[in-house]
Amino acid sequence: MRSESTTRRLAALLLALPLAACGEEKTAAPLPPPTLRAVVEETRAGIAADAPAEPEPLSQEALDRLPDLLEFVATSKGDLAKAGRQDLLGLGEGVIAKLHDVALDQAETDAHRSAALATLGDGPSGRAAAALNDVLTQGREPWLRSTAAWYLGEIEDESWVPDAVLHLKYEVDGEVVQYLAQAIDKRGFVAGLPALLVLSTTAADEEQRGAAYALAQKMADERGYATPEELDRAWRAGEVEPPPTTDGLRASIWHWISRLAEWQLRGVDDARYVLVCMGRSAAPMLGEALYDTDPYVRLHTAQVLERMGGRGRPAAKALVDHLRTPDVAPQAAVALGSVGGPSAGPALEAALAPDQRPELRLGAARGLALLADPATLETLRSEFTRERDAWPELAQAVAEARLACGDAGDAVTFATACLDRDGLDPASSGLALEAWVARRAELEEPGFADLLEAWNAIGAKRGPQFDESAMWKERKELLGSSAAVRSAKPLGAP
Amino acid sequence: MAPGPHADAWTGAAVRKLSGDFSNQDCIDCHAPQPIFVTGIGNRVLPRMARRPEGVDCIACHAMPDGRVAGTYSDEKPACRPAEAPDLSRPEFCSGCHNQHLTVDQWKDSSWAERRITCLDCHMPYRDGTQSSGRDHSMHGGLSLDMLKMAVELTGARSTEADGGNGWVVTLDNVGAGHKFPTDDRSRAADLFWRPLSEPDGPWRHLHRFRSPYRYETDVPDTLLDVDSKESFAIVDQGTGAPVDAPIEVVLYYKRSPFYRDMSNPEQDTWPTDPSVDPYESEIPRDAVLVHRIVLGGADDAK
Repeated sequence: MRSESTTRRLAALLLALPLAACGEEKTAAPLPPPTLRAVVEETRAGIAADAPAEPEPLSQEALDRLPDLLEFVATSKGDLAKAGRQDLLGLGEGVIAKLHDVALDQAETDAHRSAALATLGDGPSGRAAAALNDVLTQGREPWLRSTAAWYLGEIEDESWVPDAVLHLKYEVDGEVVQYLAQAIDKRGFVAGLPALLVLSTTAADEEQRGAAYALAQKMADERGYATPEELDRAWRAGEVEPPPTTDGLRASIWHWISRLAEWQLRGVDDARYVLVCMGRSAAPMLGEALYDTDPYVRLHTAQVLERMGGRGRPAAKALVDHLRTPDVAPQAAVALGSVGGPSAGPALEAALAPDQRPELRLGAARGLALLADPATLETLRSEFTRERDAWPELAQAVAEARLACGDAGDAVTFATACLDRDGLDPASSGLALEAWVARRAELEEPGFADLLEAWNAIGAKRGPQFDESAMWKERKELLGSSAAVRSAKPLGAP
Repeated sequence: MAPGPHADAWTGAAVRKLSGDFSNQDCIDCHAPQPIFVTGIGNRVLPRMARRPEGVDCIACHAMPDGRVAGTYSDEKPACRPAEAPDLSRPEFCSGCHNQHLTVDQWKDSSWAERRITCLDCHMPYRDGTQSSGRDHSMHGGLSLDMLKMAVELTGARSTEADGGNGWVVTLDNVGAGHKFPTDDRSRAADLFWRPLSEPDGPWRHLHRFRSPYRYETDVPDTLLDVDSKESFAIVDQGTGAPVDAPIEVVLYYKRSPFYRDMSNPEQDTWPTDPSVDPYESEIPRDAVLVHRIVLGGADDAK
């Protein structure tokens, strides 16, 4: 029976063969990069062919009836109001644009604006959702946006969810955020939970903090989790089953993937945010998008998967494939470490090998830090020894990966030195060391709770005569003088 | 000497704070870009994996895909032996990053473009005025008080009878920026304040803000001062709405992050003169600079 270590080394070797770009000692020809095609364009062209035609504008007769019907809805309740809303929608699909305009028109009465939103909430098509989403973008009054969010949640179609998720990025009113999260939750998505958790601790109003947490707790209860925090952790790890992907949702996600190609970064930033929040629902499509001919789509897709973590695992195989695509390989390596999965460790160990391209090796080291799999430690120690004097930037990334795996010794010493070394980023080593100290404090190893407290106290000192570089220097001295650090052994060592 | 904004693009205190130590990964594309000659002139930049602390380094602008080093003219003497690459001087070369907020487009629609006065003429002038000494690579812009002073002119005058009063009218004229003022970043703001000369320690009255809003600021209009344009503002008493004709002082502040702790006291958010004071200590940074000050109607009346 082979040991696990031997099996891993064999797996790494098998992966290394196609990854090898050059080298006289190699006997097998490396696999070529995967074939690329216009995935996004072709997929969206197919979707567009199914899209409904633009609605006819309202007839004059319909336009004449609209004010009276709107007044009727605004002044009626229950079934009467519902009947009025159906009559409004019966004027034709062109009424959607008119209702949208009424909702945004500050010269209209609040009752009419609310009636317009309520009617949109009964709208049968994606156009009504698009109109409500636009009110969320353009509406100046928080009550208007809250109402739009509420009625958005009434539309029984998932296609509007990604657009609604974007509002979580920009909305500044806590109450609107709650309505948004609730609307998104109604369609079975957890994407609003992080915003609720933030609101539950940062809202100025105590009542709003409590309401946000209660809503988050309800989401956890409905999914069988004891607390919202547990649901949040499971959701981020990709353990929460998303609702089935409808055709409408698929079309919307492809729309957002297409925005990864935009020239203005604002659109790209929005797309990255939305797709990350859509998590497992978007991951299979992101896996396909990695094969697009557009380098911007490929690279930004890999960034989205990196930020997605475990939720992006359905795209892991595509990421392994793209360790052979030169322009995207370094970012694919980082993303692969983040999404994880059984193939991630061996593939990244192979990508870290010295015969790989330098940027890929660096990406692989950063990916291994995110993967934090102790089974990769042997490779990491070996590469650290090789590179510590030759290529400090790579050695830094490898040392940080070792810390993430619970290693100690010279990885800690080296990462500590990186806190004050020209040409290296102290923040990345600082974060790695902080996580390492915190983990040991959590495990109640002697001296680490005090060390963590002192570390945090230095961070809190920011102010006059204590800039960022002073902070890193002081933290470096703290770690260097710590007996707990000197006596630390790799986690799990006897 | 402090590093220029390109060299400081990854390590600068401001960007570290505003990006949360680059936990906001959206910032990386422009702050540690791959070589522009590799991604392509006029194309958007892409982030690189290595050497990020070097920010927008020499390689970002000068490395060519074939390994040569791009220069504005060929020269065999320096060790890097630059090869002439005219693209290096084109505004499109800067646009991958600097047109993200439409600065290059603003320039293209201006008289500056018609006169062929390009980005480099202002932001990378020749060190001694001649090509042989090369260009200044400190990339002066909104972080340079001299550049700010040259970008806009602040004047004031009595309103004419045709305007219906004898109060003061203040004008900001975009005389020296080949693009809008301010530009390139929504976190930049320029603000006009005034106060009666009789209240030298009194509160400032906010007159106007020149700024492009963040996306979430749905109720904030875009008020950047157009290129080749000027805007005038009547000084009125904020309580009565009556024109102010008494002596006043007017100031223009430029702020790198757009908010003040107290709009009636912009001075408290100015860049500390004591180098040991951290301008980023407070939640709202002390990163405002006084660009212009004029006195209208007083002994040292500027106009």
